[in-house]
Amino acid sequence: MKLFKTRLRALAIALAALTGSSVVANAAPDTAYNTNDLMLFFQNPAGTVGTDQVVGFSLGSTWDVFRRAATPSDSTFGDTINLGNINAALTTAYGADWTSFSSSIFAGAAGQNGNTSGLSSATSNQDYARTVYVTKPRTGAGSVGSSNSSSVTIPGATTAQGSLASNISGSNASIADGVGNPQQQGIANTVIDENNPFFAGNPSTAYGQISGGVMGALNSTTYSLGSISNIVLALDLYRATPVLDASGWQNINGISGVVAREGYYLGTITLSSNGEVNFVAVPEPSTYGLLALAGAVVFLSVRRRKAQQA
Amino acid sequence: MTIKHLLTGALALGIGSTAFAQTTEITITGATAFRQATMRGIYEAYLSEGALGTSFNVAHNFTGNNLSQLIASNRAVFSGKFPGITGTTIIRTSFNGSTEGLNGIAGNNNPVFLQVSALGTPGANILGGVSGPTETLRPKFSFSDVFQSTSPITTDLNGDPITLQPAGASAVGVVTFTMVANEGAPAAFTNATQQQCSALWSSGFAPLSLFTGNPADTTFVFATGRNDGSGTRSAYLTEWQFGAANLVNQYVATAAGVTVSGQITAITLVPVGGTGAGALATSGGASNASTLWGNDVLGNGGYSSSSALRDHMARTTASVTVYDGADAGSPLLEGEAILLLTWLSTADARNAVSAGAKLINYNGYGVVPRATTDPLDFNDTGFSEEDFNKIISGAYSAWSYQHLYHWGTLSANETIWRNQMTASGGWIEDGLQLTANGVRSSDMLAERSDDGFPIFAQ
Repeated sequence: MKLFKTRLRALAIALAALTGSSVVANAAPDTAYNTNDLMLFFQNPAGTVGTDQVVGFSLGSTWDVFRRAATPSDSTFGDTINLGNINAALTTAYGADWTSFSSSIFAGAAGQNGNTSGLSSATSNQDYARTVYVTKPRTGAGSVGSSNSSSVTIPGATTAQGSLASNISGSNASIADGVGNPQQQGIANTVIDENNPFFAGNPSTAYGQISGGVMGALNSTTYSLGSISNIVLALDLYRATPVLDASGWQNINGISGVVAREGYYLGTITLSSNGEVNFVAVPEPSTYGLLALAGAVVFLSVRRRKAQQA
Repeated sequence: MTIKHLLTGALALGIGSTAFAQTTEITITGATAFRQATMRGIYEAYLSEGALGTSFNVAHNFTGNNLSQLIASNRAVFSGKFPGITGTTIIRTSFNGSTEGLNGIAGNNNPVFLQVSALGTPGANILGGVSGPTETLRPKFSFSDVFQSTSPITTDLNGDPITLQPAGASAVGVVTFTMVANEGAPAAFTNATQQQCSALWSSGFAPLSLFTGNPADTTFVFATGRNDGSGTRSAYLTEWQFGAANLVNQYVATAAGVTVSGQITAITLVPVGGTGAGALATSGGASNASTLWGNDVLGNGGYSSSSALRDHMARTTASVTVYDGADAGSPLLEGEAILLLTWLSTADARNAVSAGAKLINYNGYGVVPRATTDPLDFNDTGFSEEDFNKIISGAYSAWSYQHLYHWGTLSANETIWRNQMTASGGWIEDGLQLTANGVRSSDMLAERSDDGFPIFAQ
């Protein structure tokens, strides 16, 4: 029994060390919006406070932060990335009790990389023209490494793809003034609301192309995902690229399961009740192994205890 | 002669001198789409009091000394006897777009006006090509193709809320528009629907087959139009249910792309700031930027003036390089035939078509703006009887109300001027009748409650 406890303690230390080093990487928060950044944005259309306000938080480069964390050969692969704290901005816009506005405050995130023109066949930074990064709300905690949301499909017509990409680009630019981050803007000064409308209280088609929108509402209860706790909103992030060309990310990195125009799950953006924003990337296989090992140890412990009781 | 007589005479002379020296100043900005009716109405009003060169004088910044060039000018100055107003009335115009005009009378952006001294030595002719001297000032009146509520103008120069006047009674006529393709558009390109326009302005371009239904029509049609200071733009974006504040993808000719007469050889998605470096330098420069809604982003700009757009639509596009507005080194297309599609006031469309552009029906209905000397012109309306009936009945929906807004209160003479211009049978209606710019409010048998709203029979 003593030996078992020692092994369990060693495993706990190992897991804690893992959590403290490669699982949670504290990246410096993005300081300003740049083209091709992923923008997290909030609306409170049916609320009592801040209905005319939009909060935007630039999370960093679509490809250099989020796609890298889903690239097996990259040093950031599988990381959970701390993206900053937006409690002050949400408090200013929607009040100190913003977490209590479940089903009222909505948030989503979108970005794009590559040429936005429907005429372009260029690939830049391993993203074909009109590649977009959009979210879908997670329906529950689920498990780390797996999406838990409806799928994303982008249109087949290149003109519609271009419209989607340029609408995301323009919408993000409309909330960013290039200086501060996060940003709070009067809704009339942005086109976030026009590109992310509501119908009957629910998000409607976003950017004229994404059915069901990209936003989700704050939860009334909190949950955990991986090492992140007190989550009030989780958004699954998908990359959708129109064409799987040879110089594209999936081909260069030998990533299977990427289908043209279908969203490929990269990880989950979380908002915790204290305003912390994190990105929980799909963990690398070794992490899966450790988690499985931990599970096995717990299983053995329970089994041994039951055996002793018998 | 007694002292009393002398005093009475002196007093009378004094009063007379005062009356003679009285000068009324009217400053007008706003809709370029409606300027032809406005300018023609003002010209006819002055002319009713006496001959040019005798009773009044006028100078303007457009090249040429004819009436047709005067009414197409962006800036002008009139001075002389105006009907109903004692003394001299100076009217100065500076048309820069409806929304920008509303911004101007709100005191947020003073337009450039010709000074009175630009009239120079009065003569018997219209004086064209006058570029100065100029000054910037807050104008009193603005014409607008759209309601104030369709614009982002809600505050004045002090940041205080402003309701432009006369709220609820600002409409003075109906301004009509039409779709226009550039010169060289094929015969099969005849119609554009609301849905097609909405899609085209969203993506920026589409194959011609979208409009013709013929898969073999693979030539790309590119969207071109105005910047967000334009009421014409608000009119088309509301008419298409696109949303006046939403982002569009519009292309404009580059500076290097209009150096060959009659041709456009290069266009670009409007760069951020309205223009770019090198090959991305646009023909309209930085004024192409859309800034009023706070969305100066790629593709969202457009022509600042309908006259430049009108003139470019009268050019061919048989071999064109297309840029994405950001990268001058990697054109999207090179040396390919393309087409341009836009929406112009019928007055501007008439000029464009006379120079080679092609009228395109809207939602299955088309109107042909005509000179009043045209044998088909119906009762000096600027349209045939058939087309006139399409408009007034509401079957043709490419129209909006023309508004005349002002800020603050009006002086007695400003009130007289406004009434003279806007009354039923007044000078604006005369201008409308003479320029194919729209129709009189009193002719309408249909109405809509707001820009782009459903049209109901009266």
